[in-house]
Amino acid sequence: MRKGFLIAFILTLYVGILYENFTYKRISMPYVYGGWIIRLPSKALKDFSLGYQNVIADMVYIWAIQYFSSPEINFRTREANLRKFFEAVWALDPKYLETYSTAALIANYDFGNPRLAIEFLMEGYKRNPDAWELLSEAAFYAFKYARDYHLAHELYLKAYRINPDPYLLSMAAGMLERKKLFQLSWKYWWKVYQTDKSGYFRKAAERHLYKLKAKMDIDRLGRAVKEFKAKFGRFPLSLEELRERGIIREIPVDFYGDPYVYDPETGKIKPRREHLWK
Amino acid sequence: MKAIEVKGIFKSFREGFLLERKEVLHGVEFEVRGGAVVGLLGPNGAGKTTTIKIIMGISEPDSGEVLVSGKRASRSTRENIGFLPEAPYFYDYLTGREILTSFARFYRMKGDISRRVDEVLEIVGMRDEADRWVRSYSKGMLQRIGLAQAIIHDPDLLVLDEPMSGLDPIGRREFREIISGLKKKGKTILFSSHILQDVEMICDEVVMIYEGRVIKQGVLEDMLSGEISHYEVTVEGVEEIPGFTPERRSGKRLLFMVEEGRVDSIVKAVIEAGGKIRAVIPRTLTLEEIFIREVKDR
Amino acid sequence: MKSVRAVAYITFKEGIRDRIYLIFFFFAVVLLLFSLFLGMLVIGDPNKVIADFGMAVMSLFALLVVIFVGGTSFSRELSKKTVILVLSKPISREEFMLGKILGIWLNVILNIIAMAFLLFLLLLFKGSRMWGIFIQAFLLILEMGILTAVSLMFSSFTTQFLSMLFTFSVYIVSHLATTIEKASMTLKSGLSRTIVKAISYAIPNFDYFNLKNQIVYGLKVPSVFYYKAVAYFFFLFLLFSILAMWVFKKREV
Repeated sequence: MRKGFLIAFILTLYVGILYENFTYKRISMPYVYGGWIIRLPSKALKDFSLGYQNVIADMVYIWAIQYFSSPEINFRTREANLRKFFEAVWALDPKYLETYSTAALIANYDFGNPRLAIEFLMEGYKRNPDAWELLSEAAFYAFKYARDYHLAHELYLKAYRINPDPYLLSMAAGMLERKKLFQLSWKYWWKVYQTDKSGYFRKAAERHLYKLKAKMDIDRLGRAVKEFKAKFGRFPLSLEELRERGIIREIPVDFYGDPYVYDPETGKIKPRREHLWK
Repeated sequence: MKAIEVKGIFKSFREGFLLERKEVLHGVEFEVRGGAVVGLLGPNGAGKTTTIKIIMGISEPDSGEVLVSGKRASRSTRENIGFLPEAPYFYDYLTGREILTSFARFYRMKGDISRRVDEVLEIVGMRDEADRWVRSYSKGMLQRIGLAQAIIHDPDLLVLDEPMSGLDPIGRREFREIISGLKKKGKTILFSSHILQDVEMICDEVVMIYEGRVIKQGVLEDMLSGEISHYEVTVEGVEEIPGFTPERRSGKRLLFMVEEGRVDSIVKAVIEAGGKIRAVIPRTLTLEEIFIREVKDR
Repeated sequence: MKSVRAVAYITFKEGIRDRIYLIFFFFAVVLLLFSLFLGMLVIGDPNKVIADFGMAVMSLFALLVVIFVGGTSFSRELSKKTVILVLSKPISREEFMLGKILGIWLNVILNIIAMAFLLFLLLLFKGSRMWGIFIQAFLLILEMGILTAVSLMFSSFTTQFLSMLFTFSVYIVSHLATTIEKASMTLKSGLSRTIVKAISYAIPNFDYFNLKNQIVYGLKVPSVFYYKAVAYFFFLFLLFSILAMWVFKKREV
């Protein structure tokens, strides 16, 4: 009889414990993921790591990811801590490339600060002079979010110098186009065209080269037409006439060697293959 | 041929927090003849274990020297000595067999070690328990393994520190038999004890040690047969004798312990009182009594 | 030498069967598996985290074993009087101490290799062949050899607890040597700077045995490093072994 009571009692206790376990989660407790770690000076962390720099860097990094994804903390504090957190990680393990990208990610998408993102990536590059990927990422932030095409161009070019990937040169060329530096852009695209023998970028280069040439040629022809009109009071009947009349020395053709399309009534010149660009 | 010569050993320890000097041995000196079984007798704290450690070369004396077979006690003398410490303890997680095999490796053994291990296990009666962990052994079993590892390399000299402490009577008897067997093979055995009966039963010679000094040593037989301590007088038919107190009563008989000089008086008194003398037996001093007397004399 | 081997063998065998190892090992394995989870928390390559964490666990586990077993083994011998039994054999004090050091070191080596294998297999399972783990294991073995000698040196004259404490302190200080040297640079030149710098050179420097960073990134290490590490190991190991033997020789048993 007594044994039965004891067992029943223990079971009841256990049921009580189970119930508590289930209901614990319902209590919403405010919780701030430990930001205390940033109070440790990053230098100290490295010096006292006793040969465990890598793991500690990993731990701080993981901690940082958790910290910046927790919704409870004050927005401003988080931004202030971003640099501190990652500097600690970088002091411990400067070669951990992923962390620079993550820091940039957080800076740009969470805090809307692409300049900071670029700064972080450049810190990474400073410590890892081979890391062209960081330059490429920074260039991307410069181009897409900071809209600083000049910087983007520089960064893409720098990256290309380390890693001659036609993609990078294409991007640099694209940046130049946005800044309307068409001559320089042409040079770049031509290089891409030459070096990417069979690939995707060759085709892109073709398009851009076609477009650029077309643009430059049409500008020139347009000016020539205008000059003709001023001189002769009418539009030329054909592009040939421009040459016959001595306005231009020779008639440019498009990238593929085909002539441009000229409408003598409006005086407008168009390239044959307009579909090649959107 | 002297197996062991202990010459003027002084030894002190530094003990306690303040590292006070405690003197343990004050000029211990004795000899052990080759082929003899010698008992080192003394109460706890007399310095038996310390002396033994010095003989084994485990401890260094402050002054004096110990010679084993004519050589100073050192690493090489230990080749030919078998040692059993007091309350032996072994490594928990090894089996008895493994202990013996491992210890055998310290010596230059002739022939196959595992065969010798079996032999020795048989001698000490631990054949069946040899493959259990030492952790599980009883005190008696530990003692047996202890003896086994002492004889495994067939040394000429055995030094045993309180080898029979904690053994039951049957164990003690087996032990005594093993020691007699070894003696017959011509081994020299030195063992220490504070239990006098054991010493009396198997030793040829005795060295008595007290408070760090040797107070008497000699051939056991000589010691015991030398002196008559008293007479046991058994009488019948009287209730009491004036001037004498009976030691014991059994039925009608009284037993008296009487000094040598007074035997005549008591016999006369008994006869005058009308009693009968049943027996007059001389008793020699037991070892214990000799020991106590020697101590008192100091 | 025969007697050294005999003692080492007994110590090794006794050590292997001590249950405490299994507990340590179990926890180490649990931590290794935990590193898998940690790897998932990271945005990019999880294997870096697993490798870092794994090597850290391997180091700490080895340290625990040395401190704990080195600290208790000798004390146990002394308190249970098994020392006397062994010393009664034709063996000198020095040989006994050396045998103990080697026996425990062998134990540690076994544990390190086991952990290294586990870690390697774990990474292999995750698609990464990090052979460097075994190189780090080798260096760790050297480092722990030195620490074993240190641990036994302390055990032969202090209590269990103190010897564990001192050994741990030596470990920490030896990993701070470079830091101390750097710190000396921040002081104004003069006596204090020289003293601090001298200290940093006088203490052992376990950075000689640390390639965890290089291995994770697959960097090439010049072979000079390995030669120096081995030479350094010999110096330190001999130094502490001799100290241990000397201390033990003086000790009353």
